[in-house]
Amino acid sequence: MGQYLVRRLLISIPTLLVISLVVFAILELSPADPVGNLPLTIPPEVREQIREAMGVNDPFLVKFAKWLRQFMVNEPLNIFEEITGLNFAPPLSLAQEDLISTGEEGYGELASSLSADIQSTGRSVILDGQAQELFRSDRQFFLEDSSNSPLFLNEFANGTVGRELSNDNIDVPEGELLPLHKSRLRYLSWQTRSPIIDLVIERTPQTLWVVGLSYLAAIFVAVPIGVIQAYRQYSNFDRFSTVFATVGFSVPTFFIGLLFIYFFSVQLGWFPSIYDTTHVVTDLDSFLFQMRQSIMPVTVLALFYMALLSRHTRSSMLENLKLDYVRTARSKGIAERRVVGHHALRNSLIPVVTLIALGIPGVFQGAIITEQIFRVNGLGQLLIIAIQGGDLPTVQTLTFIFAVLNVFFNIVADVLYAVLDPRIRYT
Amino acid sequence: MFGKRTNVVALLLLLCTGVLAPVSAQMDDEVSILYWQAASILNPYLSGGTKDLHASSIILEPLARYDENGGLVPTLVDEIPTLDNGGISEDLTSITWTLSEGLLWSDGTPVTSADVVFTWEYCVHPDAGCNALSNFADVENVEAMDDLTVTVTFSVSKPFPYGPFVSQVSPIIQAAQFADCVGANAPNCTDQNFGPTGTGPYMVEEFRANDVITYVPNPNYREEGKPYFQRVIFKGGGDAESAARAVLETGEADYAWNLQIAPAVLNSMEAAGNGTVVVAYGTGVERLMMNQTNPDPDLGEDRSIYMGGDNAHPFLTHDAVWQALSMAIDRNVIAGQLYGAAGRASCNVLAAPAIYASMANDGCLTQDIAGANALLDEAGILDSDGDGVRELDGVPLRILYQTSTNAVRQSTQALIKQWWAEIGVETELRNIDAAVFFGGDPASPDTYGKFYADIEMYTNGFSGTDPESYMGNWVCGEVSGPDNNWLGNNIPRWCNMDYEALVEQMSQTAAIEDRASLAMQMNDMLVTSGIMIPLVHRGDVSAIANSLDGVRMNAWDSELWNIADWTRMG
Repeated sequence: MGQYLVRRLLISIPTLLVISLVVFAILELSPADPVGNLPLTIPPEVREQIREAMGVNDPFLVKFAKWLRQFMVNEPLNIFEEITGLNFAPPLSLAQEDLISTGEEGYGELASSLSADIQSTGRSVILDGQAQELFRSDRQFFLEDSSNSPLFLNEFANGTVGRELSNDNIDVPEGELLPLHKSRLRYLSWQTRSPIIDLVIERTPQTLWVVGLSYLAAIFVAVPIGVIQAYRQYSNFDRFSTVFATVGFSVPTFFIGLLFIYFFSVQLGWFPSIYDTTHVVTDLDSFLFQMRQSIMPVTVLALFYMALLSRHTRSSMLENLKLDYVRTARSKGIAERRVVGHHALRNSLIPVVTLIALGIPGVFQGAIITEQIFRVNGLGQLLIIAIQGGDLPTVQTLTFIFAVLNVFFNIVADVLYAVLDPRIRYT
Repeated sequence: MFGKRTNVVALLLLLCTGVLAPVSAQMDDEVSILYWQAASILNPYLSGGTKDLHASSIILEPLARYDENGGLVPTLVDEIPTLDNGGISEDLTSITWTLSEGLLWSDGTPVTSADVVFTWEYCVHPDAGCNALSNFADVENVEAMDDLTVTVTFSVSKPFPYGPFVSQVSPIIQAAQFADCVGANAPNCTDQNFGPTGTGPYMVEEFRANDVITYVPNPNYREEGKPYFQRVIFKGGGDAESAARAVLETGEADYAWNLQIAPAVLNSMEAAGNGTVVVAYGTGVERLMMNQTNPDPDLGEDRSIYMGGDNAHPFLTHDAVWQALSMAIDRNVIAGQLYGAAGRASCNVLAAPAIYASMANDGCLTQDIAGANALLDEAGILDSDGDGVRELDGVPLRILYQTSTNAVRQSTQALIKQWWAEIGVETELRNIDAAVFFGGDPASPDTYGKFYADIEMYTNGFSGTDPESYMGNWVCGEVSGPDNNWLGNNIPRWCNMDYEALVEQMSQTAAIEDRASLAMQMNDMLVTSGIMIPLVHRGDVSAIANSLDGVRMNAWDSELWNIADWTRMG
């Protein structure tokens, strides 16, 4: 089992690499233009400059390599360092003569020809025989001397490093130095010009709360319904639930969502149609508000998942109820409740549990349309906006995160299968 | 057992009453604004569109802005510099602004001319990718004369020097805050771009990109007692229809922006009585662009290329043809049924401000299919082979008509196709995703700049109130083609020396009446040469809750330009 797990995890690495390359290649071919949505009053030459500044025109492989480095190395390291407080950046090796004194209270200036050396991320430098701390932000270096006055060095677009005039008269207090975890190049969205990972982290709670809650609700409702349906096959309850499930499964969520808004927001005024993502639960009242604003999106989504899960529970249960071990249990005189609830149910749940595990990535993807309707601005809505705005870095990153989740929960489902069903052994 | 169940039921009931209590009306001290396109960034110089400009206009202010009539209002200055008060030099090459005394940033530091100079340096930095660059066109230098005075010098004479530092597009940013964000560093300054320090009535409390912005009052705002709300919530996401519903039907929001939805739907929502729909007409005119060059795919590389006028369109350049096409269109039907409050029929490509709007072409407002048929018959453009399509010199009048994907545009296409069929013109319709159509990818055959079609339709206009640069779009040097990567502004590929002379003359004219008369002449020339067929003058549509007072809907600047004056009634 352990060996199997290791093998599966190892195989998933090339799988993910191929997925990321394919995603990248497809998006590269997409004709969407990030400045296409700007007002037409902005002239083409300005648009071209904006594209240039975003790095839209970089060659495909350069973009892919940048992304790999930033996403696979920089971002995990940033997160790890932030959690542990450790620092992995190697020290910068610069000789004293690399710094040309400007005569300005002993501060030095890096000669532009040395730009290549400074590219290797680092944070300590020897200046005037003393070790100095050199902080690096995205394109900026902060050099601190013993009196804690920072020196700014900018990395210009042409790759040279030097001092920019506009920094000359700016006093930056010590506390303004960038924290170390920001000291690596981050992957920026074209739309918001901010690190995509931060956007994802900001969006995840909403999606988990609304979509996750609906998933949980669906599981807790669907399984009992499925069991009763199977136990009383062809009863009125079974027929009614089947119709209900078919409706829930086949009527699109956006339609049910609109119906809900029409009845419960417009006509009755019970629930808000706009989800407030900034709402913080502090007491009973705010909790009730949170429930009230979540009810509609959660119900709409739960209906969909419920339909799916109850059908599977029902068919799996029906299969098991006919089997010999159930008859044996009954003939031994075990109470009916225990026969169904203990013996038959446990065996019937095996395929359902794997189904649930496989559905979890879907929770993260957020029900894209439902999020849009109720303005639950979660991961799904982030993806939609990025697609509409031609924000390829965000689309790439989100698609890739979803791919990782899919691969991971596939493994989880396989493992769960073995755990639940002792007949299955992986070698 | 029984008792336990009763308890559970009671608890559930209790929860229900709490949950089902009616949605509370908006708090008195809070105003909620809905933009169905969420704001992505609060730095207008790096923004991706109008929504970002509006969101940042609450915080950042220009030296002067436009009011709802298109007039300049001093904002960070006491008076608008003019020729008369000596603020503009006699040779029209410099303008001097004087900041009001005692202005403070929201962090309490004084606003100085250095901030104005820095704003210019920030935007024109070659690595910045600043999208207000055209506002700073021809600016040679921006110089601080003293702490409050700043002079902008132009390399050419500027009869209308209100480009730099005017309107939502070009506000003043704080030098101290953005000092490390110049050039290639601009996009990396996430904290600054998400929370600029400004002089406006409110400042950012929390910014969630592409979701929601919370603003609180700026304690150092220059007008005593303003703003009136304790909080502004700027929520994004969803779609236009549900945004309209939230203001007009459920009353959950106070203001909803850009409600381009079916007129019937909007009217029925307004009937609920919670709010009103307001419209402001800016410069946007939906028009048909008529390709003056031959887009025939058989031409290969040469399709839709101007080639010094040697590649003329086989029939669109014929006067009778474009006149008939224009006559066959009922603009009032398009405006009334498809745009509703958001549009009115127009015969001009320069339809606003009012002083620039020509009256000479208003005859086009009446549809005349019989007249169009007669015109074509007279010109000898007849259907000689009986297939229902007329021919000109053996070339059948078959038109490929493209536009961006958008419900209203596709409905317009369908109507026009039907009318043109009635005059013996066959139309093939095509629609392209907006991000591709308006995108500038020179490799894509589907951009509006490539124009691989006979006719294309979109809206164009200009920001601000001065049409000079807009009317300058259709000069020979701007003809879109491979030499400018199909990014030239002259999309119809039209070249006319008389027009060129008028453009030149306007750049030397300062008096507003003379400028207006020149602009009208240019507009008439464009419309009567069959270069463009104007259809609808488009308005911006928003919805306002009845309880919100002080909104002055503005098409010339940010719709939120006077948010400092917004109050709750009663």
